[in-house]
Amino acid sequence: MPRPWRMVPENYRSGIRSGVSKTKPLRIFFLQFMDLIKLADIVIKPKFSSICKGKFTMRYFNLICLSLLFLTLCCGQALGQVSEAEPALDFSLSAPESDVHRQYLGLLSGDSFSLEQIKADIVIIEIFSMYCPICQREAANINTLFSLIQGLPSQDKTIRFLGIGAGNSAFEIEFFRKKYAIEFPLFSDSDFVIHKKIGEVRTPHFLGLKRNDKGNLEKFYSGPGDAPHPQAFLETLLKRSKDPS
Amino acid sequence: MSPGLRWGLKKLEYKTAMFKIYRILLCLLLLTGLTATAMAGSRGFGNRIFDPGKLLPVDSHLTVQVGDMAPDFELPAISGKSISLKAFRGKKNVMLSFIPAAWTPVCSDQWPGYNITQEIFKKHDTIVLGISVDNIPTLFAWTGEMGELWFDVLSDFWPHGDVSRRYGVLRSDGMADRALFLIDKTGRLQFAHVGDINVRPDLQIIVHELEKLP
Repeated sequence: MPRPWRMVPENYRSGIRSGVSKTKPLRIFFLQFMDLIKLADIVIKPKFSSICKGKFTMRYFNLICLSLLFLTLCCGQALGQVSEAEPALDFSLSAPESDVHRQYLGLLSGDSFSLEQIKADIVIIEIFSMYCPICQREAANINTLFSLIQGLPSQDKTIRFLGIGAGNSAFEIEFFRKKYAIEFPLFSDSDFVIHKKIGEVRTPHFLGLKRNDKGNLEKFYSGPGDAPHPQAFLETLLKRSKDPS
Repeated sequence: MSPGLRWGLKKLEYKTAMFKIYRILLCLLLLTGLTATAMAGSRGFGNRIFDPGKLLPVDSHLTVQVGDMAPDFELPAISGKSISLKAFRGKKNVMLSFIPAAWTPVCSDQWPGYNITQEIFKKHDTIVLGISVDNIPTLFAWTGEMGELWFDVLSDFWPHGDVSRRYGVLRSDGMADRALFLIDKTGRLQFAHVGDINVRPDLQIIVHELEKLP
């Protein structure tokens, strides 16, 4: 075996991360910290001392280094946590060929579009795969969810629903669409590019985005959803869009 | 301290420092999560999927060619039957789908796709035989997570990987490569595809080849 096998936790993307940032963070942090101090002592201190010989700064060399390193590492950790909590949604999708779907999403022209271009107050995205048994089993329920969204009173906020096939080619997406008579727009992510950007979630996975005061889309829901209960799931989504907590 | 010893110590310090830099960079990489792998993975398998990491794409050499008579075999299926390739001669086209290992990410996302494409295979009078070097109990438990499969799943466990070896898809690590073979009703090989073990073959490749069958 070229590489040792390793156990993959429930959510293996965040699981791998949590293995580093939750279960072993102190150990790694301490090792890094000690390594950097030793490195500073070996490499930087001799050069620094020749410049600042006898000066006040030299007396506090170790303290200054310690503080700077600590701050750098803390910032690194903080940035890592932010990127995990807020995966980037700055990806583009190929514009749908169907005029009905273009109209549904409010797209005028162009070969591709970003999520921000969708004319809606709320955008719900299902990350699925035609190879995922749960996505296959729940396809009918997702169709029901779409019908429920379509049936919402028109004076309410505009909600648009779409699916992204992680690792599915355009051919596979088309097969899945026909097989389960899916009416909402489906998009291919054959090379997992979008899947990586949104945090390599397991399928099926749902994202809920809403327009904030500045008119930008912000995430209010990210999770496995509750496809067996479409009505309850829709109510949860609507509630969360008003109060994400 | 002699100049030679001082020079040696300085060199040692430099080497130690370089080693530390590499170690720090590695730690930082781990912290930023850049080492995570990219696979979709269905929730259907819960936390029972092992990630082997990125493997050598192909680690075998085909021993069969398109136009050859496909090597015959008889293997036990998870249904309890014993399936012989010869039994389909004159009746059905056969697609053999070799997968590397049960309970791994890409393999777990391959056969469920064939399970919902039965009409495509039916249209071309073709049956699918899934083959793995795993043993029957393992395959039984694993495929049970995929729902009820319409095609037979065969175990090439013992003699270990014998059929995989005869088709030239047995890897040096004892697993099979991710391979597809299409055999027509006369028993002749019409298509052989050994793809990157880390990637699932696109359904379109299969459909395209099914359409070419005599």
